[in-house]
Amino acid sequence: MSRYIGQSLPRRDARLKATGEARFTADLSLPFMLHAAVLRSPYPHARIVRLDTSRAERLPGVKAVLTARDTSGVKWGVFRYTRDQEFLAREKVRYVGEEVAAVAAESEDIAREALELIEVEYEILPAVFDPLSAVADDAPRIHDHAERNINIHVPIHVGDVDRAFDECDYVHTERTVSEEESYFMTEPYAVLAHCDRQGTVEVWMPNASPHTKAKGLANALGLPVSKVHVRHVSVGGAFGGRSDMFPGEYIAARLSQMTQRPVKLVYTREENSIAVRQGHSMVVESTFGFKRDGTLHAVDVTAYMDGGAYSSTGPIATSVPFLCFEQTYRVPNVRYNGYRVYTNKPIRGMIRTHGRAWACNVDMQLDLAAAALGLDPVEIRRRNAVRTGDTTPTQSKIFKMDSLATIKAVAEASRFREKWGKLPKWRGIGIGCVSVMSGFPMGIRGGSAAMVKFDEDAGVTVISGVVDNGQGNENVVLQIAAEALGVAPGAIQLVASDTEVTPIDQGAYSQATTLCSGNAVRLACEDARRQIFEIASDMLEAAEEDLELEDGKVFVRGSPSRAVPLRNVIRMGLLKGKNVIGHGSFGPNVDQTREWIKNPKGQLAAAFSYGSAVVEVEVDPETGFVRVLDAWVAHDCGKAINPKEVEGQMEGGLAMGGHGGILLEACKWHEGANLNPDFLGYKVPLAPDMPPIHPFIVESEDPFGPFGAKEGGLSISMCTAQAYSNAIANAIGTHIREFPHTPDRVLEAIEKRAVTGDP
Amino acid sequence: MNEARKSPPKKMVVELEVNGTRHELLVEPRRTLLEVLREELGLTGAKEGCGLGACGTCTVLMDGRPVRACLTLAVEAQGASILTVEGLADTVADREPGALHPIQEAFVDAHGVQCGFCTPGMILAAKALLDEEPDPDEARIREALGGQVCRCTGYTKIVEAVKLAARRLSGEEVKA
Amino acid sequence: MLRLPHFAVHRPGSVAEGLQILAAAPHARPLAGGTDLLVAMKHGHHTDADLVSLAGLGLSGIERSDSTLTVGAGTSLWDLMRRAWPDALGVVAEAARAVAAPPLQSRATVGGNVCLDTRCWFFNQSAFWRSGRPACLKAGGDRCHVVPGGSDCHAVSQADLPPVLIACGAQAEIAGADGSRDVPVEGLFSGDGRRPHTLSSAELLLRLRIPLPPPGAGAAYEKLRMRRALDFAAASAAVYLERRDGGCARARVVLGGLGTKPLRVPEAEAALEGTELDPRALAEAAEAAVAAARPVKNTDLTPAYRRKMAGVLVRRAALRAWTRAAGEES
Repeated sequence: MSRYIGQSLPRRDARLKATGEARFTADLSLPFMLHAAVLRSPYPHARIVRLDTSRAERLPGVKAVLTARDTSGVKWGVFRYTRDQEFLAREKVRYVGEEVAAVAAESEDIAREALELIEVEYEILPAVFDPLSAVADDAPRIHDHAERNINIHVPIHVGDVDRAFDECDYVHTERTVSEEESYFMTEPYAVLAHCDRQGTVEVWMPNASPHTKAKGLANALGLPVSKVHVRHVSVGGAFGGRSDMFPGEYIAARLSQMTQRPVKLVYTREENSIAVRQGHSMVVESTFGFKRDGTLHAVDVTAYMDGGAYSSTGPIATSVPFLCFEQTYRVPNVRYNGYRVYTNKPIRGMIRTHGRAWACNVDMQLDLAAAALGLDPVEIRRRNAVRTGDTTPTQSKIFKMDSLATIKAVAEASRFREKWGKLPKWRGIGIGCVSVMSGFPMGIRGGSAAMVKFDEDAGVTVISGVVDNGQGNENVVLQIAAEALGVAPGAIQLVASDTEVTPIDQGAYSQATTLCSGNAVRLACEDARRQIFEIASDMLEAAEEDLELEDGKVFVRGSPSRAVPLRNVIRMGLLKGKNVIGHGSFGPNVDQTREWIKNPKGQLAAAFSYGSAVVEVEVDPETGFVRVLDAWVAHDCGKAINPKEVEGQMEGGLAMGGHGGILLEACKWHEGANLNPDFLGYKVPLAPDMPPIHPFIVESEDPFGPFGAKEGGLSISMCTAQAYSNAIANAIGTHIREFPHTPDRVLEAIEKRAVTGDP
Repeated sequence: MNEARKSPPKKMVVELEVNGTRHELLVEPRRTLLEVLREELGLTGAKEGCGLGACGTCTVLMDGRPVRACLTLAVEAQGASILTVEGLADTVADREPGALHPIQEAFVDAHGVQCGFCTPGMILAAKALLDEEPDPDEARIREALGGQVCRCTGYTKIVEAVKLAARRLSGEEVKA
Repeated sequence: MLRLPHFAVHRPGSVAEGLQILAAAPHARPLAGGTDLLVAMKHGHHTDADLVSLAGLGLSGIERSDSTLTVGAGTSLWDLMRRAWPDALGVVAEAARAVAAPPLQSRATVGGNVCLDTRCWFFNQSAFWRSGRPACLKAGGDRCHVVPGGSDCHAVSQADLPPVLIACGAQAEIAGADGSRDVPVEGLFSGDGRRPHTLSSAELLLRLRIPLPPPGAGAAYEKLRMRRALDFAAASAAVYLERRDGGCARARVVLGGLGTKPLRVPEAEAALEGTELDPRALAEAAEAAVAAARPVKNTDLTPAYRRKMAGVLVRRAALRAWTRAAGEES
């Protein structure tokens, strides 16, 4: 019986956050600190003809002005073959918001004033703002190396798709279009960097992988990784938008190098929106072929993703929507062509609900096929759901995944089948399913390691690279350590995400933390246990394998009176020169030869989660407004280490992916300028908007996850989008092909249906 | 920018009571309450999530009412009593050292905290509500928190936290 | 942090003193709650303005006489919505409650809402954002980015109180150097998106006088916005009706969020008056509202949709007002 696994213990960091004690980057200050500000391009595409910083340099209080002239010219890219971004624009700017120069000054006011004194002469170039225009022959070229502005092409072919379509009883093509989502994490990006006179750089910033940041920064600054210390700090949300390197940390660190003083750079909300990352807008064309019994036999999908000006996580971003699909529904024949296209828009990265036009297209296809083949939406998903023992088209084995239990949970709780086809007019119900991978091959930075050490009074300190962006990762490893050591979580200290101290960790952006960081901590604790038992076996005159560790005592199994306090064991170890230090290292069982573009096959992840959602809505036929009456979400997360926290992920996922993603959220544009970079214009759901949510946790006990746990939460963010979209379609009698389904689009769909008589 | 104004206007004296402590401050008239709290008084619990009043991370209580500190000039808070998240626990009479305010406790216990960036504003908005209406229904709670953006939780557990706080404050439920 | 430009803050202790300061400093702007003005200033607008705080002018409070409710311009929306209103005027609190969210309602004032600036995607942006294109008409430039080639500014009036106050027949008391005058609230709006109010820079809105409605009156406000808090009206409608002997004796219909000023729709009023709000009358009123609406693409949701919504909102507000009026008629 688990003592700490499966317990909804209050989070360790919650008290600090509820009292305002938790420090976020903008809250930090160091003595003698300077303040930085960044000059950005107001144009989407322009050549920098002249850049004169001399007036800014002369402004009293200005300590350094940074332009591309002061950089090594190292380009950033997540992969060797995607290094296309300089941290300060050199010859031209490619999007509104691109970094052109930066200033460090005695105050923020002076830094901003100095920006106004920097003279930049631009030659405006023709620009392009959507992927389909960008691949046209006569489109302006954004990067010299990218013909037709194609940044990434992911081709995946399995089986014989053309023949397979001939074998199908029902074949249907759909085209869906989505605008960009934006992260709108509540904390705007900020960096505090301090380069001391030994040449060591300390950096604090919201991030999803301190070790990735440290490596990228070390490369850019020309330093060994050991000289760059990314420190622990509270992070105000990430959702995929804090994953790779940004110019901000380079600028702050470089200015600190130049001035030998700490430099703080705090982005405005607008800068956070346009100059960090956004989600990809997409155009997705899919052809799905089904057999008469409703089994999916072949798909052919082409997706055009607007990648913005640079690569970022491009190859991953172009693949993940497809991968989530192939893990969700069985299909023997697939052809996928994903194109990520450069445009003169801000840089796009991975976002929590990655590709609503993709995912919802799939579930729209399933609902249409179900209707055509006389099945209900639940049944067609039951028949096609990927399950334990399956192998995906790209050769990932699904070791354990209880997809059917999640479908059953939401279908029953919502009484889906009783309601389907019988709801009053303008009411609708919809279902969506998705599978999310727990990590993917990330080479040398694909695993995690941890250490556990003991104080002389048996106090425990866990040292792990785990990073917490708010989702509760720190608590996950604390509860795992507590379980493995038989020590209350409250008695365990955690040193996390400080690259000077913590071992390399894959970070919190591939849904791998619970699996990898959790396992590393578990293994470290088990290693410590072994050492403890080795010492205690002499003390208790018992074999090591007969010992137990619980409640701070080592005792002989079956005779709890033969016990010795852990404290004494630790002290005995110290006397004998056997300082107990547990070590654990974990790499997931993935195929490291798998590559996103060149070799998209092989084991992708060690574990796969599944999520299903049902949503019931009522549409106002006069205004197109959608009221969500109830939402049921079920998630196979392997094992809920902290059930309330998993629920929190599910509820938050629904808010972002389902409610925001389908009803509200979209970036609006005018010639490359984001019209709604603010919290008023961009519609993050608010408390009065949200429906009642009924979460169900399904525990399939993953064979590789720590205590059976794997990814928790993201599955729900994605499958709720599909359920929302399908529920609206059910209510109004037609699917909407544009995302999000804002009231104007819902009403338009209703009216078009009335005109065409679409059933 | 305005070229005409080269020199900043004279600073003004502002008297504020912040978390029970009186302060007399000399501030530029353009300074917001948020700048004064964070940069003059070192109270970084109130955050700047947008600076334009649309996110709620800077919400503090001014004479008991929630306000956007980012859109309140410090000089307009002259004579006011300000409560920030740092001072909330001290409003509890005879509390044990280190003890939290019941609303803070409820946010911790009901898992109403994830990334925590919205939490200070959220808790203070909840306090303003519960001070006025000790037993609000769910719709009222959601309305009162309507200006506080949370990107992590979907609000469910925040609403539950406020309900829990209400029950504990009324004595209907005792913290285990 | 997002910083405000330098400015001086004057703190007059009386209306007379406030008017003096305004008259002497042409760039001075009255500061009420600041929830709109300070946002604009953070965006780099009005950088030459000094501010005149209205906090010390004693303009807060609500008084009721036999015939009139007088609401001080400095009354916060927070206080306004907590006040017990005569049923037919509950719509005023309803509109106040629909503004933004509690931490903004606490500072925002009635006067500030009435004097709320018009809004536009191209104007309500940071100085950086706007630096990428020529200044628009509202920002002192020579073009409109919403309607290229147009010479009119289409910034939209999205305040919630004005449609309701106009529908209820409210008067505004304006003070200037020559004393004070009462004008119908409707007369406060110029229709020019650039300078949407008729007040001169040396005048102050002191209070609003709302006539107490006769028995049988009812009013309702419908606000359409994407989210249930924070958002401005993408479209709104206020309808005031007087019901006598089962028929509509008087109607006032006002649209918000659909033009450069709150739009009174006399054709809709005529369609309702003398009827029992039968479906045909409602449809005619709705049609008139659609015809009167002037949305452009400068805020949430498409103009075609918002125009259509003018009709829906008017019909819904009229029906709710009618039901309320029936409750009052007895």
